[in-house]
Amino acid sequence: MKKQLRPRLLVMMIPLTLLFVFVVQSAYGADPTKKLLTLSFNKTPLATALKTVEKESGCKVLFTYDEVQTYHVTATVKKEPLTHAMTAILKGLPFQYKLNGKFVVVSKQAQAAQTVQKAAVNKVFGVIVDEEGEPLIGVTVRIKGTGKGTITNFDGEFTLEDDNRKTPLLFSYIGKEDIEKLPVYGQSMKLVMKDSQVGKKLDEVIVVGYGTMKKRDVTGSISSISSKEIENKMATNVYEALQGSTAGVQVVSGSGQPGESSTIKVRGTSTFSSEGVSPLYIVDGAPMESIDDINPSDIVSVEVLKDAASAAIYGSRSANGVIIVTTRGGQEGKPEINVKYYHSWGKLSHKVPQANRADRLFYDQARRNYFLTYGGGNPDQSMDILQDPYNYFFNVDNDYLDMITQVGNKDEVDVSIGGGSKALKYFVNTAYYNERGIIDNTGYQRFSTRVNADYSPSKWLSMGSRMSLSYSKKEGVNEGQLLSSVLSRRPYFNTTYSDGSIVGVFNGQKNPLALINYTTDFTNSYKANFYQYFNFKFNKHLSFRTNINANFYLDKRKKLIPSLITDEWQKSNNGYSYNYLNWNWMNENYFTYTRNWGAHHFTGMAGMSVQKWYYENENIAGMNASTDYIYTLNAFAANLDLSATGSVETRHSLASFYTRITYDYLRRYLLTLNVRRDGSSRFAKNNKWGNFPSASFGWRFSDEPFLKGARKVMTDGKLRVSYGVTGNQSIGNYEYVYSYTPSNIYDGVGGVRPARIGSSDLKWEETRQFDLGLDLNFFNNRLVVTADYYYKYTDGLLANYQLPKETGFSYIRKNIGEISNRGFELSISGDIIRKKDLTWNASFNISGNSNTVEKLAEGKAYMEGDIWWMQEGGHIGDFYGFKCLGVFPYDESNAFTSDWKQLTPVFENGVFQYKYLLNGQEYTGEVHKKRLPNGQAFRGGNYNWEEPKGTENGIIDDNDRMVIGNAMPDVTGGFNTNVKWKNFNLYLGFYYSIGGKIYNAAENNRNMFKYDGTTPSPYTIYNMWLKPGDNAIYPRPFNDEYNNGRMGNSFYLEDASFIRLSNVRLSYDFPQTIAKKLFMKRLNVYFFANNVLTWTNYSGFDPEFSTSNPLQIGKDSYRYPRKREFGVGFNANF
Amino acid sequence: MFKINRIIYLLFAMSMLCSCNSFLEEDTISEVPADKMWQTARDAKAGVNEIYGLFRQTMRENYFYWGEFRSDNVAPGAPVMADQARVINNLMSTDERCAKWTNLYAMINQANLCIKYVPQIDMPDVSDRNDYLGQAYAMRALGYFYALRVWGDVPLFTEPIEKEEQDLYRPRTDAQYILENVIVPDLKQAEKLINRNKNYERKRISIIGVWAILADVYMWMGNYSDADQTIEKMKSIDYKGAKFMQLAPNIQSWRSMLTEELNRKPSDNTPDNDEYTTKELIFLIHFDMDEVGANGYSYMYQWFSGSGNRAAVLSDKFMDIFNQEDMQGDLRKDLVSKDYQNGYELRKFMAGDISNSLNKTCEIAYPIYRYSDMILLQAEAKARLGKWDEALELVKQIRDRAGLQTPLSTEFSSEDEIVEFILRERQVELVGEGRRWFDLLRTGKWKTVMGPINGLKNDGNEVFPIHFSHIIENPKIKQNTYYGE
Repeated sequence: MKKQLRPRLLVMMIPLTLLFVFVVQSAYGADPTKKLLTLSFNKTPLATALKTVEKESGCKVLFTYDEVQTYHVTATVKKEPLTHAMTAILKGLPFQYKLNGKFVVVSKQAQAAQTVQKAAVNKVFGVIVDEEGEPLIGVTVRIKGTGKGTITNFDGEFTLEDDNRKTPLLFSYIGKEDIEKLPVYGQSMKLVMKDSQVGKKLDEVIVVGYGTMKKRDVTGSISSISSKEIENKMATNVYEALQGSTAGVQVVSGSGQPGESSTIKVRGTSTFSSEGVSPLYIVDGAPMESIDDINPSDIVSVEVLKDAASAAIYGSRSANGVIIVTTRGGQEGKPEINVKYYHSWGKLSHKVPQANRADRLFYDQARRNYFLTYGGGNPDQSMDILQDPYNYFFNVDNDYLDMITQVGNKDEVDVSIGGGSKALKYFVNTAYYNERGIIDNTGYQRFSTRVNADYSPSKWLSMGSRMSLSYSKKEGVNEGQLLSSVLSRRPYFNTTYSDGSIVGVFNGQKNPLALINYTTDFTNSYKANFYQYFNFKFNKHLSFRTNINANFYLDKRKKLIPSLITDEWQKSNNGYSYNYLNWNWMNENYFTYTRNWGAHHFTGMAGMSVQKWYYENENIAGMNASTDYIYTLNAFAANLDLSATGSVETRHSLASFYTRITYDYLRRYLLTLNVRRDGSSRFAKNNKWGNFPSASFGWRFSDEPFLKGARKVMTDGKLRVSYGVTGNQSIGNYEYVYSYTPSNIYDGVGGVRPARIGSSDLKWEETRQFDLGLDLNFFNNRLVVTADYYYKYTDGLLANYQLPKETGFSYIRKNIGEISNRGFELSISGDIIRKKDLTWNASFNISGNSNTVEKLAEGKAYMEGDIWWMQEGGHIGDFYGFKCLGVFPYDESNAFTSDWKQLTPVFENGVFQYKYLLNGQEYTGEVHKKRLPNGQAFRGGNYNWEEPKGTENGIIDDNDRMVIGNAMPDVTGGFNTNVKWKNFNLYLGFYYSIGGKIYNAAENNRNMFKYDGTTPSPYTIYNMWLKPGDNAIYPRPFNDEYNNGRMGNSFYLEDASFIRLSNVRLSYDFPQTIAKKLFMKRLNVYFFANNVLTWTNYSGFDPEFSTSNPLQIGKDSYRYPRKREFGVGFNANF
Repeated sequence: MFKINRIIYLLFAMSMLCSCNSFLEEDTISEVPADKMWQTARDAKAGVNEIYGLFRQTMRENYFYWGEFRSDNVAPGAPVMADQARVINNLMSTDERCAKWTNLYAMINQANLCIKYVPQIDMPDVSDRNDYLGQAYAMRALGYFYALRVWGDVPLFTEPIEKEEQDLYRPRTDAQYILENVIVPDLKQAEKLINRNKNYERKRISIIGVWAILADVYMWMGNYSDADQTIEKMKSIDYKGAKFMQLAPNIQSWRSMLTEELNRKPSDNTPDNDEYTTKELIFLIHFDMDEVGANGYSYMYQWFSGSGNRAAVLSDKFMDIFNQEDMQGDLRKDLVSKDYQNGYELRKFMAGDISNSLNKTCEIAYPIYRYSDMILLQAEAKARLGKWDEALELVKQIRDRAGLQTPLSTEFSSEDEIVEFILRERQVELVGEGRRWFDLLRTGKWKTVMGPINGLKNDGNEVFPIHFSHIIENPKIKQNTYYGE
């Protein structure tokens, strides 16, 4: 194997080696005027000689051809600098030279020039450069007030015949400030054109992989969010900053639990595995495993690379998009101190109705009557309560949601200092964040600090460090257990015994208050990121950068379930300690070469990187400690749970080579090419390497001469097309390996079994993406429109393919199939009012995505989780289950025609008349009943399940499941608006998700009538079927073999659409005079509210929740409810 | 300046050249690559041991679901245990947990691996190797025997699955074919391979264990004479100068066998040492909290005690047996049952009083085969073979211990009657041991016994449903007709 790999690597090394040789040579000639020249001329025409000098030295030699035409040179120069060579060449000739930067201007000596004065005085010539000294091509030079003029050539030079000495020349160029200057005759004019402030927005620099680009030159689809937007949203993490602010980026927060992470989906789901669904996070150039603990106030900008062309530079990890976070660096100048503080109060935003005491007693009595009539369960199961309702223990009416929730609090303090000199800049930020959740004993604390420093010791070297450290503590509850006990525990069960002691487990159910107050479960996370770069600048064109990066993540979870809440006998407790260390290092090295040849602008980048990850898990579990007081595992040493105790280590490495070329002509035709080659240890020998090329093309049509007239309206217009391949390798570290793992311990011996079936064919998941985009800017940023259409096709989807369980394995990691995603994105932003005292701007974005499962392994449809269906031609998020047509009122209502139209039985005074009606007419044909496979007919009070069209046979079994809805929203997006009036600023942020369904599994669970202890919702209790003739909404209150309570029932499918006013922020800037009196530069106070209003038809806590598995979306089990939050705060600058 | 650069780049270029070759080779650290497995005696031991671990995982719930809950021994316990109640009340649908064969087949695959690889291992002692192999054969047979008793025809795998390219999608194979061509030959192999001079394990399969399964299989097949002979052979095995198989001599030792010997037996990893004082246990599933963890405890306590979440109580029909004339004074009655909170609890495996001395972290082993089970099987076989006196002689051993009189053969008028008598004795003796439902199935009495209780009387209802996920995963599997098409 190693032999196979070597030649391939060598081939890849060749371009790099060549580049290396090139670097050394270029370094040699960094300053052209210092270069030693060896020249020899023998009666050579002067013009030829000067051209030779130009060629050898690399300087631009300016002369007038007519003047030198008749002169010849004989001279020899040996390893002399330029000045000596020029002197030698011009010796004895009537010429003089002047060195001006890299220009050598050769002109006739004064007396000699007299004769041609007439011609020379009228000639204005010169060169025009930008701020970096690069010649500007195509600059319009006009004599003011006349139509007379010219444009600069490929070297930025112009020559103009002009005899009107008093009229200034007007120089103009797109994106640059105009210059007006009186002409200078006879000598070269050198003009520097500065970037225009008006065009600034277009010239914003945005971060792309391994470099930056001017926004106007970007040919891919990239969204960018600034620190101002983040501040307005009162974001506590990057996810909140992104939510609703960018088209095509769907951010769904997990739940209301403090410190809960979110999921980000860029342009739909293009992968099947939960590990690989999140985008790649790059923070200041370094890939990160998580961005949860990044303090939003450290952030300058967040860029989302959406299309393949932008993302492909990150190759194998970019299929789900790339999110680049750039943190603040210091600014040159005096130290600036910034202090921020806010406090907020939160309250449960939406309550779910719960049965009260009376409801539950009604339910108990109804069930008792039901069992007495129909059997099935034990009629006496709640008798003791019904007969003794004033017993201390049953004589309460609990509203558990009220009891477990409280007012949550949030504080954040942030102190930063930034400043520096030209050579050294620094930024230090320290922040403390503390959130106490709306459920007691839940919370999240974060202490983070960041030090960013940049240092340029010399012209050719700059270096910098990014260092961030954070500590966080997340205290949580088991959401599922808590909320299921909240929603289902009988409302009349007391939470304390008569002696005042708290109830733990009673009647098999846990007391939610005991769960909250007695569980210990917290995770301490320690994170450290170190990043160091060195940038070597060899000359104006070529630089080399090397980055070294190391990330450390350590999570330590401690858990103690005390004996009080483990079981009714309170004999046992459980302790758990989990340590997870993940650290990785990376080194990347790349050259960047920038050069302009005339109107041809070229940038090349090439490099390589290596990265390695180390993961280490340590679990210790124990039970039956002698005390409930100690949560650490020393208390459990006597009774360790050996099956859950142990450590596991895995590793993963990635090697990459990448290159990018950007080229444009006249800044009008733009081209970017990327290629990345990634090798990953996660694939079998023959599949380790993957290639990820991409190309994008941009056309700035607004610069075309034929649209010149439209420029007043359309400031800028660009069309983008891109196509590329991105990859995904987010799977376990050894998925292709067939190996054995320690497993069950039996009778003192550890067993060993196969960990998995190996799949040596396992290969990269590849997403090919086409993107067509349009950027329009009208009236100087008054209205900015960006629209994109994309088509993504992913093949080799990495997923867990469910194997027949009789093989002894559950699943195999496999390239399972192919999926396509297509969608559009549109964002519109603009300034509606632009006045001195009043500005109002607004932005709106919308995106839609639809996906199709194109191919599945063996063409075989399969069930994902317990409720989703994956089939070719289907869609991710398709719910699979039984379609509910309502509840039969009578046994006789289960009557259908031969083509399964339901008949209406005729009753008179409650007695069936053996007659059926069909559409009001008496029906006399054959009557069919729906039955269980065993022949039993469905009765009154059973759900009437619909059979899929064409397969109706009256037998309701597993074959009668069908796709009953889809979880994916049709469109998502946001709407943000900001009004500034004098010193007041008001920001409103909305986001929305329209379409899609939620399977309300929490509601399904509580209304199953399966467990006696479970309390259904009040609406259910009063709408269940109890006797023949009931036109009920819910079925019989007992789940028998007819399985009315089954999971996967279209009845529990609800519309997931919502619009949310998520952020409101009103701030006031104190006038400078007042701020000054307080020794401040600036003081800003604000009021804010989050999660203010939600418009939705969804009946659960919240239509927004996320799941880690991208295929198992939209199933609402019990999640921590969200809060509505109000707060106040200030920002002060010193 | 450029010299420094030159050195830096040379260093980079060199480091890139030499490091990339092996950089992408990551070996598993916490797993054994397949080609490094099955090399030593330790590997054989670990591999075979895992079969038992997986068997425990399989049987933890299903011991009761498969063998006990469908029988007339039990009635629903508490309303919170709805899944158990559905099985007891014959209300099963295709989403029942006990309808999954995932763990059972994981165990069968593990046995297949051992059968393939153990013979290739170079071990110092060939008899040790054969013993491991014999255990694997016996456990595979037991696995399939459970499978076909639960579902009828099942897919057949006799070689391990190691590659995706293997034939993974197989239809169900005729149960009779599996019995004749896999189970019986496997047990015959095991009989030859197991080390009779060293393996005296009761937590694992010994020669007695092989014979117990074989006898059970013969009975299932109606091959009474082979069953009779197989059980007879058990009496030939000696251990330290005494018989390896003996009935617990009296009701006290019977009691202590079930409550103490099964409970918390320390792990003992020496097959040549029989750590049990009782000589009645043949093969049991060992539970040890340290090994199974907080969520793998034995259900002997939790499912049968406490009103809150007990899965099942003894049925009135079962308790009524003790009222029958010849059962009065049965010493076992108060040892197996206790009237507690509106139900007769199965207290057979509980030493103390449940309400204050026990907890859910239960380490009671599950007896799979017991000598009294074999004695009664042999009695049934002999009765079927017309040897009524011998049959009753065997039953007498059990009834004597229970303090009961045993009738004479003359008191029976038909073979059916005497078999019915033996079956009732089995029901009482083996209650709570996952045997009764299979007895009803084996003797074809399930319709008449269960029909009046829960309507379990229609053809096809005697098998369990196959979990719907198995059918989706492998479309070649067809559902048992009672539960779907």
